[in-house]
Amino acid sequence: MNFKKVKTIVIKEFKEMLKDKIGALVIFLVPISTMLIFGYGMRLDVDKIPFVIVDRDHSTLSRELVYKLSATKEYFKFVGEVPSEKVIDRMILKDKARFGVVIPENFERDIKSGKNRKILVLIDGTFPYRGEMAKSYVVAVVNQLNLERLEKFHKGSVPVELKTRYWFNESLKQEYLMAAGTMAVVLFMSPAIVASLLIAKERERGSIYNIYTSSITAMDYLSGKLLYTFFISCINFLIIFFLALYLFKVPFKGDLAVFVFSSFLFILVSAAFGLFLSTFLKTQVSAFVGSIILTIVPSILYSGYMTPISAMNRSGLLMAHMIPTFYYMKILKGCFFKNTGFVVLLPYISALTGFFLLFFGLNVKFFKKREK
Amino acid sequence: MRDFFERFKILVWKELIQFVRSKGLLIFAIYAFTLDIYFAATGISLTLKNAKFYVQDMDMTSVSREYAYKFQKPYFNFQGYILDDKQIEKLLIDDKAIAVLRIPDGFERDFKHGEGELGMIINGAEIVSSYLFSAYAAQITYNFIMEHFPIKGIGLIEPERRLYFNQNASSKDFMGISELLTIVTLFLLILPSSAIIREKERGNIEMLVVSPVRNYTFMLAKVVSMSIVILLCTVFSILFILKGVLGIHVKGNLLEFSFFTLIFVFAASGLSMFIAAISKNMLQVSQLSILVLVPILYLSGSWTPIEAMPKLLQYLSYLSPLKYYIDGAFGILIKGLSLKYIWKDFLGLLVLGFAVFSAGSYFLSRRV
Repeated sequence: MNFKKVKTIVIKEFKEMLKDKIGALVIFLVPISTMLIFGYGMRLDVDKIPFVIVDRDHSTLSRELVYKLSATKEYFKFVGEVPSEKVIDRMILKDKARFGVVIPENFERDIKSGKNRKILVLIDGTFPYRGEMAKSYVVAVVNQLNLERLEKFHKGSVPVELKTRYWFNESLKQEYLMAAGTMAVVLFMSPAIVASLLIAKERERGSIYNIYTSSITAMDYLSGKLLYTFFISCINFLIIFFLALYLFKVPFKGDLAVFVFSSFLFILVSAAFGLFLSTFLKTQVSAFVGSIILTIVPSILYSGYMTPISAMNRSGLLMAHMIPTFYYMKILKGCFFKNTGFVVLLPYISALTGFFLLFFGLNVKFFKKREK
Repeated sequence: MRDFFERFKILVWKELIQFVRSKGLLIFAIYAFTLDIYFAATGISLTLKNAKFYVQDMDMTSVSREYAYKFQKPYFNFQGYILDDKQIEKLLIDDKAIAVLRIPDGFERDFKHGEGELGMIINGAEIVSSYLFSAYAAQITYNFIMEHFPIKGIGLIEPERRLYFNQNASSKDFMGISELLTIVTLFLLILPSSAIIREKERGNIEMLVVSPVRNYTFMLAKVVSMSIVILLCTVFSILFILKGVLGIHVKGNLLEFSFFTLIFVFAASGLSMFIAAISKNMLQVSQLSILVLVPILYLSGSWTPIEAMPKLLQYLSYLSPLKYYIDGAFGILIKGLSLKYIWKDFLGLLVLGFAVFSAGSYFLSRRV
């Protein structure tokens, strides 16, 4: 490896970047905007679900139930009372309500006389997770009401109380998880796209023939491109890391050195992956489409960013283990929330190293200094 | 005018040939519309499944064991008993478990006196599973109480749930369809703009200037041909992947859906032309596409429900074409509605599409 030649290539890329002012600006803008939108906006917790009621009983108990449901303003938004199930159906079809509760006739009379009565909860299942959450909130409210009545009846306290505590993210703040998780998605996406365009661009323009005829080896050439991507991505990393720490105020409990080191390593993996794509793909369009499809979608779906890894089936798990973001997410969550020790993180760091060596090695092997 | 159509046809044909010849692009398009959707639909589920947990049972009585036994498969996955507090921390830090259930000493005694207390420690760094775990655990505890205490003479309210459109609450339908819609948007944003930029970068535009083809015709041909490709891929994907391989029950009329998609194609390719107008090279196209894509995806409401967004963003969401498309597409595909029912989304998309498309093509024709 000739360091002087590598340096020249890096400098050349930087010069080219500075000439393209808009391009340079958007490279840094994209991670910031993604961070802001996902960090502030992405929420999986279901709140303010609009619901309607059919009350055929109009008794104290039915009103109490309706009151209990609409009092949890965080979760539910009471739209109003409607005359029949048919109206609920229509409102759900039209997206005016996500669920409806039907309280039958003689509801209070039967309950007071000691019979169990069913109430019907009609839920919009289009978005399964939202439907599931709406259901569990309604059930929780109803259970609570039952327990309160049980207490009154027995003149005692609730026989068992389950006290739940959340560790690592005590107040269960989703913006923390989202902001930190978005870092992983951005850091995998951004360097890969930048790097993937680097070689494809020269190939399309024909300037790669200069490289073919020069004394630069494939190793030097690729290292230069890799280092350039690495440098600008490190700046990006610092920006979004500061955003996470100071704008989103995500607590950082772990070892800073380990985190920065693994993040740099992760950037290298992503950059090498981008180069790897552009070694095989001839045009910039295909390099870009390839890198976006192979980075964004898997990072969002399989890394444990939003979807639970434990719930994946075998093909999902297999997929997850093939994606570098999966390992980086473990490191990231460990460092941000848990203060996980280095020894525990070591396998994940080695996995990232493995990915880097694999991608870059394949690059050097397959990058031919001539046209086919 | 006949000349125009003749030229237009040839240009569209040329773009289609070029697309098929570009092997890399073709492979990724095929992957995205088939395997990617398949993986997303089968691999991902936003439910509680197989959640690993440990039990720290300091009571070791029949009651405590019975309680722990209630956490059953397929939702939970019992890993074993642990003894000391330090282990809890280690298990949760190393991601060996999502939660640890703590049953204190003397639980059975307290329970019989009606003052039992249980502890549950949940890993809060996992978004979906931590919520669901605590919700399920609360339900289990409630059922446990109801089984063990005399509740004769007190009537209980029993919620009976009925899910519409998706009776078994499987994530498959939702994930499959929403992944398809995302892929459609992604390709619609990228393909037309990059097809245009390619000519700019290579300098082919110069040749156009001296040919009888007007610039605008040329650009339009690119947009139309890429839209045809994407529309075909979408229909193929619904027929063979969603319906065929995944067995998702697609309810609505496919023809109506294609028509609806066509309107969306119109709106999204307008955005793509806009991107092509302001960028000079592929790097800019790529970054600008993401800059546009991320807010559109977010404001569509497929991840975050629109009613849960801040008010300002709720209004802004009316500007995201994907919002109308997703609402309408779910209406047709999952709820089985006809176009008549979703006329609002249809109209919204049409108006927005018209505005964006005219603006996009106006800017593009001025910049080329």
